[in-house]
Amino acid sequence: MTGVVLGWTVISGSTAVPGSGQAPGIPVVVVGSSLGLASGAMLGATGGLIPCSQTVSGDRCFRLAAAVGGVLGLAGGLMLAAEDRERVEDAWVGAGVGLGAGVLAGLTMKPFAQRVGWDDVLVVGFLGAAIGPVWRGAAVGAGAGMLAGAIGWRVDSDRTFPDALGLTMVGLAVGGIAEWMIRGINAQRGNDIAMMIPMNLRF
Amino acid sequence: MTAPVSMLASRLLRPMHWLVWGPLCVILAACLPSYGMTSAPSPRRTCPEPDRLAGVVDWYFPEGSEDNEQLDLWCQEVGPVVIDSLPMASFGALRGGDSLAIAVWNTDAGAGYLEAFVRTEMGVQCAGPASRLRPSATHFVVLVQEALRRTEQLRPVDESWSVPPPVKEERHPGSRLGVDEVAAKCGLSVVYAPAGRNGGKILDGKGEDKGTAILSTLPLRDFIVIELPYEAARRVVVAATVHDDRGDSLRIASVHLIATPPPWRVLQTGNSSRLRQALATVDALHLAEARRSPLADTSLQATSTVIAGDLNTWSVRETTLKRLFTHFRDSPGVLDEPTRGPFPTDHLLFRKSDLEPVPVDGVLPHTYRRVDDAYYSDHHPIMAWFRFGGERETAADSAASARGSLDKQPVR
Repeated sequence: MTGVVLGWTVISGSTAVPGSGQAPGIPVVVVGSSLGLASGAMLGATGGLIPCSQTVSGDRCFRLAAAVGGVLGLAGGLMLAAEDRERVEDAWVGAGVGLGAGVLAGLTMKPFAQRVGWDDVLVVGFLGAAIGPVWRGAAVGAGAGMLAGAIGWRVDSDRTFPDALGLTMVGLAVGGIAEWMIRGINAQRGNDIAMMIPMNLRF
Repeated sequence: MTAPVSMLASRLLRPMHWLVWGPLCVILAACLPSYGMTSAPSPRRTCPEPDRLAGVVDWYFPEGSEDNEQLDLWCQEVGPVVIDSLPMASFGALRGGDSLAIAVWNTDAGAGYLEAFVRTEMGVQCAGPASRLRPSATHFVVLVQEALRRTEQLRPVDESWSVPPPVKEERHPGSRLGVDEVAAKCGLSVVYAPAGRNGGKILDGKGEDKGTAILSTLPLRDFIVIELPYEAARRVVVAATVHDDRGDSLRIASVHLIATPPPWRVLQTGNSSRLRQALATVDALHLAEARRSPLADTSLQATSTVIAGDLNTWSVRETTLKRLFTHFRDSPGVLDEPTRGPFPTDHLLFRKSDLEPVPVDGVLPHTYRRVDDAYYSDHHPIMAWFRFGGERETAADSAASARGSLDKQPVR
């Protein structure tokens, strides 16, 4: 929560002019890349949660997934923040909305879960904040992962419910982190923020 | 295309950024949770009372103070350890070459109909000190998790973080008995170590706690209690040894690992709460073995060991199970049937002694199975037969193999 407010304060206080072509100042670059790092790490951890738990070194795998997610998120955030303050503002707004939604979800869950404390509510909030800036990519990824997981569960008798859930979470993470990278690359190219989703819908 | 990429590369490679974020990523990837155990209690521990079980029980604690602070709070609310090392009834000795049945079951506090299970699956005619084994039955050990105990020694307390609410139970026919009461009714030896309260209320003058237990038709010895690293709830492993008439020993540990760690613990431990508790169990058993072993080389294991219980695994490929199998290399593999809902939560693992000749050969072929009747618990029991000493197959082994491979219908 403090991080979001602090990040927003830094962006608001920056002297860079949006759309002017003027490079944002170091504070904006730092808060933009921080958000990318934190969001990517949280998404990486979420994606690694179940697949890593199926390996011999599950604990290390989980941390590696978080670190890889963090590095990719950092790269995307850095590319984004280095080009345009406005895009960083959008990302922080998304993080703020996600944080609120996450905390709300955590608060809803708390009375029904025996061992969920306030720190756990905050963690769910942080997950929301991680998804918020890249929610489109995360949603598409989670949907694709869920579909693949459900098909795998039905077709392969060795696959179980945790495998299907794991694929959904991997999809969420990959989709979210991919959006960070795509946004960063688009920012470098001066393209629009919107992400292209290659898909055909037939009815 | 080349220009933006090189510009991007130069930006990403700016030393200022990587000096800040690089070490953070490395720290994030490198931290591992501690699972070291010790027999010396933390100075702040007030529970269990230091002298109470001295010489009777070897007690192991997590190293460091953070786990112990929480464990102490939970420990203060539960009753004492129960030990009846000798069976009240006379079931006779286990002879060398005989087989021993080992059953493992999470009874979901008072929900599981433990008395019916012992009568039907283990073959005991329960009559207190006059209890007898059916002619076709073998000596047995039952490892119980979420075992219920009712006692006047508990005070009423409000539910809190360290006093969880009672388990919601499906009522079974017959009396709702604690594990020590079932042991007395069926003439069995018992060791029970409580982990936490089962609600704070006093009903009919008795409060309730729940923990891990071992019941047997054989005398129990060499008691070990292991308080596992704290992961959102106190968990306790209880272990003891059983022996045949030649003095061959088998150590048996009843294990209950955490089910669903909350999100904050998942992040803190790298999603390795269960792994941490499992490795702590292995560490404590190794310390206990080293303390008692007659062997000069403490890396060798003198006592054959079974650890079994509710490991709360979501799948048979889980890290916890894979790592445990590396320590318990003579294990019978995994069951292909779930034991709680769709999840394979309950397991039995084994490691032979490094002594020659091997005192306990291992699980008899085709005897490791799930019991299809859950006896009102939310877990199915699992069972296997072991053979004590000797290379030759005895008539009892053949009977046990045949019995284990049958899908028995419960009789109540």
